Amino acid sequence: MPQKNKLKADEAHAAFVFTGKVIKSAAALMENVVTKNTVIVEVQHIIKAPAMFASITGQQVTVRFKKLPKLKKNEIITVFANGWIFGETIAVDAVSFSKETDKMTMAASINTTLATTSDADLKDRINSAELGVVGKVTKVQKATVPDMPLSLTAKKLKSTSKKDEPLTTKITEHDPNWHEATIKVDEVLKGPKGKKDVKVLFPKSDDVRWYKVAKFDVGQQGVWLLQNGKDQEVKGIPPKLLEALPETGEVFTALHDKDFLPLNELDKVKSLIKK
Amino acid sequence: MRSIKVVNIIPQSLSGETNQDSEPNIAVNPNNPLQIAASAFTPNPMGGANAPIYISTDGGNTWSLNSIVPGNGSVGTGDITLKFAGSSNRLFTSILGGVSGAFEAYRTTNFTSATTMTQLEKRSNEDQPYVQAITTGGKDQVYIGVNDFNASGGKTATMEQTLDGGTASPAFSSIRLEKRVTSGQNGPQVRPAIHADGTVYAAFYRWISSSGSFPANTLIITNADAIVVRDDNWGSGGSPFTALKDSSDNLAGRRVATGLSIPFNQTGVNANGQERWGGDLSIAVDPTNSSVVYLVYATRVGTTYTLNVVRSRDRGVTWSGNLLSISNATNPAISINSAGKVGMLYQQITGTGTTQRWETHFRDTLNGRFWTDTILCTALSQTPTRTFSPYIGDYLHMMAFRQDFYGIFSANNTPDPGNFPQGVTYQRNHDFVAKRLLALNGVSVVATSIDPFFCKISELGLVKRSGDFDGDGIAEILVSSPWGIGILKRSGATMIPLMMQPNGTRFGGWLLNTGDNTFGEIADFDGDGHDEVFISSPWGIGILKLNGTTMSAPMMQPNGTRFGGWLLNTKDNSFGPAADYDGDGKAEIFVKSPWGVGILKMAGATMTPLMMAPNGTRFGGWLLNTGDNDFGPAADFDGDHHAELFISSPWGIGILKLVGGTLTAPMMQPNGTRFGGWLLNTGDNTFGPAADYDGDGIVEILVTSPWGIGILKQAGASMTPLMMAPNGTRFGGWLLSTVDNDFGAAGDFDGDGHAELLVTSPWGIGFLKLVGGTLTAPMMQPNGTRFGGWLLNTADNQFGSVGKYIRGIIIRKPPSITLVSILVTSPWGVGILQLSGATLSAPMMQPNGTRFGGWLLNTADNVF
Repeated sequence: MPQKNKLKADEAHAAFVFTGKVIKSAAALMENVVTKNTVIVEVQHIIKAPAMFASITGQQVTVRFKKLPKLKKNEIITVFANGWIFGETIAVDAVSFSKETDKMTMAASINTTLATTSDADLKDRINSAELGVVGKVTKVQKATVPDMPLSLTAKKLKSTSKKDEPLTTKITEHDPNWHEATIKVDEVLKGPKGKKDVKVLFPKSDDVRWYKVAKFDVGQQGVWLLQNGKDQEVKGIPPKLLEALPETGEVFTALHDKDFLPLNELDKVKSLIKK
Repeated sequence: MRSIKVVNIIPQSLSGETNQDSEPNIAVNPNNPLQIAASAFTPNPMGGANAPIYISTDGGNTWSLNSIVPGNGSVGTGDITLKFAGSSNRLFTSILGGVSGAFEAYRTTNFTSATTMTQLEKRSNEDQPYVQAITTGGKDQVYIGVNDFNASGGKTATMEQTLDGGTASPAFSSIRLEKRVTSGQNGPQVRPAIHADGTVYAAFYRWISSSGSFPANTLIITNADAIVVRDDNWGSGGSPFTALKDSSDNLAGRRVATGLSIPFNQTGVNANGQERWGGDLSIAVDPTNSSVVYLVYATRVGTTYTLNVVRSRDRGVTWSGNLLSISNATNPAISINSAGKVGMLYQQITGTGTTQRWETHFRDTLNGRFWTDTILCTALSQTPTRTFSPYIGDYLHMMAFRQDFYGIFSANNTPDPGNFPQGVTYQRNHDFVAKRLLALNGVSVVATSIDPFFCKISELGLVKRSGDFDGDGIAEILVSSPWGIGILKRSGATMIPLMMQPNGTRFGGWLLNTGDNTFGEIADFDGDGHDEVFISSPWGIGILKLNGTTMSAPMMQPNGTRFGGWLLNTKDNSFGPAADYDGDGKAEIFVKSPWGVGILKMAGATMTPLMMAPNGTRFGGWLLNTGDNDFGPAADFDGDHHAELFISSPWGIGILKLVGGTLTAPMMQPNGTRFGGWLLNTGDNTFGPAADYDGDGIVEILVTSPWGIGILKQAGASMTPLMMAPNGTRFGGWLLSTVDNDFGAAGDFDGDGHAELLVTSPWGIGFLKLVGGTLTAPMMQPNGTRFGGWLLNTADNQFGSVGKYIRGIIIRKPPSITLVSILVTSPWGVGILQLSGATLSAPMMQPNGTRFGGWLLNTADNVF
């Protein structure tokens, strides 16, 4: 039985991982699809999928490969894939696949590996963090961010304006609206001990560009893996967020979805710090 | 008469999704209107590098997601708009990158293919790119309005344009549109509008001063201008977009509206339907006349956020006052179809608190004064709770292609038929009875979210505005204006009014108000040989009858009245077509609602239903669903002197016949059926007008498609083609092209007992006549021809109701007969055209300013 002990990065981050039975090669369930590298597969067991696809078991999907593999009808394969076409049926883009004989053992193995991968992502954030603390938010206020114009009379962007013209401002609905949360530190997990309070910059905006980034309110408790402005591991953080960071001054941020965790994740964080 | 289609475009395989799919945009391929692309804040449902667009290849009936836009973020891309150019079939899109956040432009030659779109340019620090495109001279001209913060001097309104977007690496230029001092920047909305003659307009806001705080969500632009710029040669000269200057300062850019006050919210406000206000803007140029341009802008009136519609008829030099003002409304999209009809889509808040609703309206007008008002969707505004701002979008879009309007809007997706007065179809699993969304397994309930909805408003033909009101065998014309209404009768070379009355007049109990009265079907409802007009308003319905020099209202009833079991509610009842369904010599009116259908017959001072049936009823085999059934035209398809109702749906077509207290379906066939050689596909077939083309006393129906045209005749339980021909066929000299041929009215123009078909194109006008198994063109004339004094120009001539307006022009031996003629209007005036040999004559024509008795002719605001 092929055994996967370690997933490649694109496999680990594939959104749809399933075991299925090959129905037909060089074929697709939808029209207008070039079938030279697609295979129809019946989903038999879902290992990983967005919640909305939890009931897709038993249905057929079209899988597109970089190059059409040699597969026999009814052969069982495990597919690591991301989304492609969604209509009456689904077509996915395979990032890899493996042939199986014991799908349940394979699923268990992959699940373990996926969990390990998730921990590895968290470990990356811990390593990147300047400071790791457990604490509680005691104060939230508008941040003074000198490089981001916040009103029509604010400091302007660099400009080659004529003398009698104003400098260009930047008021946009996609502004992060930086705020600063003060955290009363209960425990320092990483970094210099003895910190009583620490401040973290966060985007208060609920604009489509910023709504996913953690927001903080007074009284909120948790585990912060505070990252040093632009001097942090950037994997997993869209450039659009990093570009909006202030140019000057050292600031702590928590832009990555693993930079702020609920208290029930504390033990895991501590165990990873020790590794 | 029109058909309205509303489709929830979330595919069936995404039945479990709960994303906030807001801020939608749409593009129809002018080279193949079955191809439609759409966008919204929709992520790739299974991750991956590419964000999806919505695609349809059947005219919007069904949709899927195709992930081909690079940069898939948490909601797919950031701000995104898209447009097809034209004959190149290329789709262009401008986005804020889902990962980069930068302004990026992309292109694909095949929007259904799996190939990732090609990046054309990328630059950071810009906002709200909005693309328009056109193919001309074999080149794709692409115009992207964008707010470019890289611009100096606070002049950020920018046109990013390429005059040849099809090359491997198109050269874009950044044209700064703002020529005046600003407070530091322009507003984010920079909107282009293109005309095929090379005229390109753009609209933007100049911000001048402000108060309040943007981070605190209290910023108000206290002084702003809405500015329109124009270029007359594709923006290609040395000083592009400077053709239009403002007389106040002689600078480029006409300040159409000044002193505007615009809130600029960062985040949604619950009292405003969870949405943020930010200064909406939409601009449209008339495809038949590049001098005519409409603008929608926003301003506060007092403290109420308001949309205003204004128009210029002289290329933006002078502008009208407000043609329409709409309070508490946002997301306007205005466009103009090939008939010069203006359509507008927008979303409006009504009510407060937990019962507050977002209403999505479609309105249209022929003259800017009278606007129809049709609610496409009304749904609660406070559920679901906002995930991010914008809640339903900072914009939506609608575009016209030929006579049809194609739009898209985002709204609460509760599958409640009551939320969609014009009907709706869902692809995702749903239960209209329990009003619940269902997951992929068809069982688990899925939470309400915001979905994009496609809408198509099809003009099925001309609203009949003529009838024999005085019973003398000669037709008169009903005309309405902001002043009131009149009935005009041809008299020699001019017209005289049989009746004219101002708004405020009581016709019996009916209070005339042309501002909200809809003049519907004209027919002989009481069987006395005189035609009456069916009328509806927000109050109720009535039938108006010519009575001396005024009108009476022999029937009028308010909303809430029960006609037998039918509950009258003009908010969601649609009336027409009117026809003699029971064969007693009196016309009845067909009515539909989200509940079902009925046929109402005048009965003294009220109406009585000949039949009524709820959705879900089977008429023979036809499953009634007013959500996706299109009704009409009505005519005697089987020669029994009873009118039948033609019906179509995504399933196929049918003919419904009144039998007893219900309908039967003597003919119904599914898509895929061959009628002789004609392949039925209601996804791209358009039906009508119906007329007796072969002169046997039985009516046939015209069908058009992207392939060509046919005339179908009922043959038992199926149809048979009397003729069919592909595009490229010559009918005599007339070159058939369903891409640009408009098939208008049909009537017996030559008096031989056979109906002819009126056809117009950018070339000119013709009558097509069935002869054997094909058509001939007994009359065809190019634009520029004079019909008597009438100058033919199909770009601005509107061909209206046909009728027997003129008695005994031609004498056949024996008997003398009265020919059908056609009403025509233009910016110049009005005329009646009649066949005269191989051309037309104009026995009546008069310019605007003429008094018909007391009626002042003005085709700018008269509706015929």
